Amino acid sequence: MAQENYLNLKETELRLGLPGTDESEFIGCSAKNNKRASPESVDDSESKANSAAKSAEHETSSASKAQIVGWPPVRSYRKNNFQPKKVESETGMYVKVSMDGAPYLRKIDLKVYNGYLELLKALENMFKVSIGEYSEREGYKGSEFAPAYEDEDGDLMLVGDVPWDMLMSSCKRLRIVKVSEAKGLGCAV
Amino acid sequence: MQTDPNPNKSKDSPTNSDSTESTQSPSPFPDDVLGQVLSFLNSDKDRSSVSLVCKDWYNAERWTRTKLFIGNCYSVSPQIVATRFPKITSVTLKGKPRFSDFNLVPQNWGADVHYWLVMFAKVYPFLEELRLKRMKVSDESLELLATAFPGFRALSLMSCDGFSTDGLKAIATHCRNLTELDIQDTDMSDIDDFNGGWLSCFPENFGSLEVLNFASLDSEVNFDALERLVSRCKSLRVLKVNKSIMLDQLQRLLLQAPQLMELGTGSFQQELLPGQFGDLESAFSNCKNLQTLSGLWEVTSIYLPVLYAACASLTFLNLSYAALRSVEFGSLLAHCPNLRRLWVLDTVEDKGLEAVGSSCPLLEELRVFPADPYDQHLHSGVTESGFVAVSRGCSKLHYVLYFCRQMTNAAVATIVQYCPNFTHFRLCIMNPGRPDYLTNEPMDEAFGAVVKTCSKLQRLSVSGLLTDLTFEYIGKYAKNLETLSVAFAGSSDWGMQCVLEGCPKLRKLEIRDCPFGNAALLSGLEKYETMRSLWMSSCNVTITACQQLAREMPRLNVEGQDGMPHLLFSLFDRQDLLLPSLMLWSGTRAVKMAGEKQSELDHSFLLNENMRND
Repeated sequence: MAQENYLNLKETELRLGLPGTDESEFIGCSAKNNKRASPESVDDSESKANSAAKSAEHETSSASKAQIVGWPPVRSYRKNNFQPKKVESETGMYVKVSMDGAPYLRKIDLKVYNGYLELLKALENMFKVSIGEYSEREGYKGSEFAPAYEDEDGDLMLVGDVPWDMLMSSCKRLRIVKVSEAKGLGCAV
Repeated sequence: MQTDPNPNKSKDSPTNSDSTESTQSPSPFPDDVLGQVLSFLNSDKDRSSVSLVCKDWYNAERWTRTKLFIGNCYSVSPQIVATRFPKITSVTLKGKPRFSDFNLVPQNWGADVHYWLVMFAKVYPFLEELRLKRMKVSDESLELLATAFPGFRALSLMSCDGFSTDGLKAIATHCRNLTELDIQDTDMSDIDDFNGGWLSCFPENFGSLEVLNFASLDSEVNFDALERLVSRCKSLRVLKVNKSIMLDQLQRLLLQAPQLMELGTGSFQQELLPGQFGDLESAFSNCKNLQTLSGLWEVTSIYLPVLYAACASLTFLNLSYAALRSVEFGSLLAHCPNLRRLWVLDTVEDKGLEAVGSSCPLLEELRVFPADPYDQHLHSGVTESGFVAVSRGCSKLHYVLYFCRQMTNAAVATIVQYCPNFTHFRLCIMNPGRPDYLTNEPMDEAFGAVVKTCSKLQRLSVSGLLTDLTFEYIGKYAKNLETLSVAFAGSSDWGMQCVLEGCPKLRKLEIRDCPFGNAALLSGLEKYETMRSLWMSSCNVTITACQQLAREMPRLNVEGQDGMPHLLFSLFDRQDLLLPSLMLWSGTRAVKMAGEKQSELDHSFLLNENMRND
């Protein structure tokens, strides 16, 4: 019945005004909600359609979920007071990584790693090589590859000699070198 | 709140010798003995029962009640309260519905404490304690509180708003006997100007504080004033500072107050010199009585070890603002064998929860919050296996709040087998309507297992893809359930009807985005009078049904929010519109209009016809 009333309304253009002045001011609300229900005949199929529509909506892309007001139910105090450590901040520190003999270069974000151990493991995984163990005296032992980087002066440096923070600030690109070419870096082969 | 069973009897004296109205035999106890006995009763439920026995007992109870608890500030008027209870020294008042925490309630919904305070100033000048939750508290109210009650001792504001520096200054300046100032979860985003000078307003000879919590107040404080205050307050047992307090300052505070039982640290972001690190470590090791530890903003793995020495007696550890990873979290836990309550972020992941299972055999409460609730990377956070791991190791677990992105029916069934004593089970699968990710079935059987196994369940929050079957289970088995939260769930009116018909102890029902409509709403008419409140938003309830409800149940307050400013629904409207949200609660009158100006309540309207004060 309500459906009929709705359809019978003249001037279905949006108008706002106080009740008693004109009947059509409620269109704004319904247009916003896009939901109408007739009170007397709660149509089973209609409500099922509604809930089906809802669940279809819920299974779609997660991007829309972020827009749901008040969901997930985390208090605003909690949301406003916690800044999660962003794994990839907007200004990530991406550097090119090349490997001798590889057909193309890769790029990694240095900020993701907490130190040399993580970085080297990542490089090993990325290039499917074994890099060996670092020692101050001998560089990288036990492998034919060694990690090196280009610093701000353009010099090729062995990874691991300086504190991690210093590497982060001076590294311009990474290079995994074949050890036989790295004699000049002080590795004893 | 029980209504007066005999409104005609005299209210002015503790003894009522007017036997013409009494049809019951007189009480065998002399009145003063009865009064003495009843003064030992603390529980509100007991007192309510006592007051219903007979007139004499009603009177004796009301003259001996000193603590007032009002779960919904609009369920009763201050006048009624003042008339019935002459001797109140402690008041607890709760205001807005819980969904206001999630921005589902209009800003100016109400719950202003001021008109209560005005009444209290007249009737309870000896008021000592005030505890407010989700109420609007203006500076004017705080000033009234500070000046009208000479014996005032304890103020607790949880999730309240509307006040600023000036109000706190008044409290600090005038409350000479203050023992407790506890401000929790204040959302500072609405407060424009908030500076920390209020701490300096405590007089130099003031030293009575036992509880000081300003952790959620986001502003610099005068550290010297704070340090002096802490050193003067020899009985201080709870100190929770805000993020502006740095580690070296914390260390100085700890030196002044090694007796602390509850500590909320400031920020852990400062870079310490080695000497400072040692000082901080030894300051913590001197805190032998620490039971609760919180704050820990920006704490990193490097600084966690300073806490170790203080953790032996810890029973409550709140790491919900510290993004710890599993390894450092596990190391910390190894030092906390006595934990009963643990709040963490899901950055600790399942591995961290496995550590909980193995290190915390006494654990009773676990809350896992999402570090990044809108994170699109579905692989972060905790899963069902973390929850299972905790339940396997912590048989005493009875309270859980768990935010996750995936869950299975089988996992929940396993969890409640290990922990059948849940009283509070709040599971939030963050993607609305998500099924069991392994079987793709609805999560009905999960919650079915919970209600079938956990007979003591008082509070339940459901999530995931749920059909009416979940609610059938709840109605059939959850006989002790008092609070139920439902979102994006259910298939039809039948679901809600099952709950309304089946749960005898239901007090609070909050529903959003469910396909429950008028038939469901109207099936609970008598039920609503026994409940504190019902909230429904973005469901299929229409105005006509609410009008009918309001007509048939005059003792219910039925309030709708239209969601649009300056738009009033005409009660004579021919159309029947969906109501964006609805709240109803029982009360003897439409109290909401009584204390507040109509213009302040733009977004809500009451459907009751009895909208006058009397």
